[in-house]
Amino acid sequence: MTSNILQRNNVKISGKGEQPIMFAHGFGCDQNMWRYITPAFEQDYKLILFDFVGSGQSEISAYNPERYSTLHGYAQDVLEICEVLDLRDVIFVGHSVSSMTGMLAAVSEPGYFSRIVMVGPSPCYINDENYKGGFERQDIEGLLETMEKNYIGWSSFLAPQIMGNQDRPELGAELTESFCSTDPVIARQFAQATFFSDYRNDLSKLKLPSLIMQCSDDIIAPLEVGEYLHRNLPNSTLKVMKATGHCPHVSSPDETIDIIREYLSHMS
Amino acid sequence: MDNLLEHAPGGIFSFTDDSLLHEVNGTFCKMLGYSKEELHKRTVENILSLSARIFYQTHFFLMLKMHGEAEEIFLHLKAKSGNQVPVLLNARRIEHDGSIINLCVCICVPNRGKYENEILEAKRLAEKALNENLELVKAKAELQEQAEKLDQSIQELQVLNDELMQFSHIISHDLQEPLRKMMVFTEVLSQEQGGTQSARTVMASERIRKVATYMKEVLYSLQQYVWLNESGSIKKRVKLEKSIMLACYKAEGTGEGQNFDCTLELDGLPVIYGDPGQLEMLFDHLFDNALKFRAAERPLRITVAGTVVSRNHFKTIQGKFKYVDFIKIQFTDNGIGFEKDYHTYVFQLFKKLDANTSGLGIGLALCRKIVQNHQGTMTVSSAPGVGTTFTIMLPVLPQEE
Repeated sequence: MTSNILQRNNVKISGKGEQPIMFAHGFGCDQNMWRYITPAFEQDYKLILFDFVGSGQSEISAYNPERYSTLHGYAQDVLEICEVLDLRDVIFVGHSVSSMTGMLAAVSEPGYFSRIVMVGPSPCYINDENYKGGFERQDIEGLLETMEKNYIGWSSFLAPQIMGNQDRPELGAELTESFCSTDPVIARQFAQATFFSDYRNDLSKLKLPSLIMQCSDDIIAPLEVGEYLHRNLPNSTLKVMKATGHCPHVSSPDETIDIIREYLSHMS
Repeated sequence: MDNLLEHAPGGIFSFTDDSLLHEVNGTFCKMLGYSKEELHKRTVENILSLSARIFYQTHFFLMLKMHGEAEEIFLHLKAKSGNQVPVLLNARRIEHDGSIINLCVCICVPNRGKYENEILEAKRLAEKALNENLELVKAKAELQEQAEKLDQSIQELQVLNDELMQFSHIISHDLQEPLRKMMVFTEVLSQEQGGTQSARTVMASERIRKVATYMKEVLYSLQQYVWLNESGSIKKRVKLEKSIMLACYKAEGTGEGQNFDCTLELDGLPVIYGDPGQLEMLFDHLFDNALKFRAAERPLRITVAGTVVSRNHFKTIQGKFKYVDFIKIQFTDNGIGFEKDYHTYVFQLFKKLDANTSGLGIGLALCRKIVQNHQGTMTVSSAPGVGTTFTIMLPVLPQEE
């Protein structure tokens, strides 16, 4: 069971410290996206990096469309990793959609975690009457189409994978070689699980302290969303960053590191 | 820009890491309906459709920044008129005049787009048919397998149930009656001999009485357990908050030296449908248990906290997932606690960790039975000298008719 889960999620452990800090990648990439951030924490922390099932170098055969149709399935990945590594008081750092995945995991099993750091989080991407998430439904449909067309060259022959067809293992190898690539069918479902999600009602259940790292001018998670989260997450701190866009850990690693460090320095 | 490239049969544009457009050629301007001046100092995101902007943030930007290039990317640009322009583009990070710029070449592919849409639609239909068929075949096989297993289980359960019913009958009648008679005749014997009994006889009849009373209690507990097994179809609205508060009041009133500090964190728990009597009994036992195993050296503190969490409803079948809401009750005391090795032992019938404590060792077995009757799970974690936490997960099931 232990080695299965560590292999399944391509878990990598490093660092010289005792305090565990776990980095969870968002939609569109894998654990590589933390490469500018992690060196700053190597000295003082125990770092846990991993790929969600279906992303990066995880075991694609472990993908179950039923399980991963909502973020709860991804949260279970996180909890299972905590369980097999016997982690306690983990500082969870999640990018984008993984902020909510981390929140769901921490609501379910608070004992594993001490703090949740959210980089560019949003509890709901689609606008409704009294809430501005930033998108209309058709924008997301457009995204799904864009994704589909960017993988058109090979999506058709990969389709059987969704049914757990394992008789063409060479496809898996081919996938892992190209950077930031995911099985297109899975990527589409991940996009659906991400952008059609609505976890606003779960926010009040998170009792652990959390940090909301809000970028300036982020179309995926606009400032209003950051403020909404801050109002509704009971024990949260909101930090508006100078960094623009949705990936400050890639575009402005220094500022990202400073803010996380500053926040963690107040840990009792 | 080189005059020849200015009119190249494809759009050329570059942008900085701040997303500001740097240079554009004439073809690109024409493609979007802007003049060069209008595009100057705009951001890339300004000329992307909304969905392309998400793709830019989640994929394209990351590929460029981390991999140095991106090829064959399909996007919709946004023209000045608001129209979407489908393009295929290649991009590369290069050093230019001492700074990094992202250079892109794109061609407009409206016809290709239409053609691809057709293919995609056909592919979707084919996939759907294939998936449905495969899923159907798979579902059918699974169903068949489950049905066979289920049938087997039902048969076994029926046998077990019959046995249980017989046991239950033996317990409630066949054993209780002789026991009662034994007690009566012991009484008769001791009265018969008046005050002339030897010390040995007095001791012996006292022992018989004690053992018989103990046996009576065991039989009574067993009967209760069997009763819990057989009942279980009562489904009423239950507010757990109320059941717990009631059990707490009862525990507070149990007598001298039993005072304790109790914190309830149960706000906003949903109503569940179950057997109110059983659920009350569950919490009675838990409070009783906490009082019994309090640590002598510190005042007893009990915390009962409830939250709603989502869990997979399937517990035994592999690979099936349905996330539903569960009420998670954590019942924590600071009592004497026990070693990890006993985490399953304590739930077994008539198992006691300390032979000197009162009670028969049936309380926790009853608790688990009640939780199971409500399709929930009950686990314990404990540490000697620190205390014990019981975690009860009860599914929030819809009301059954």
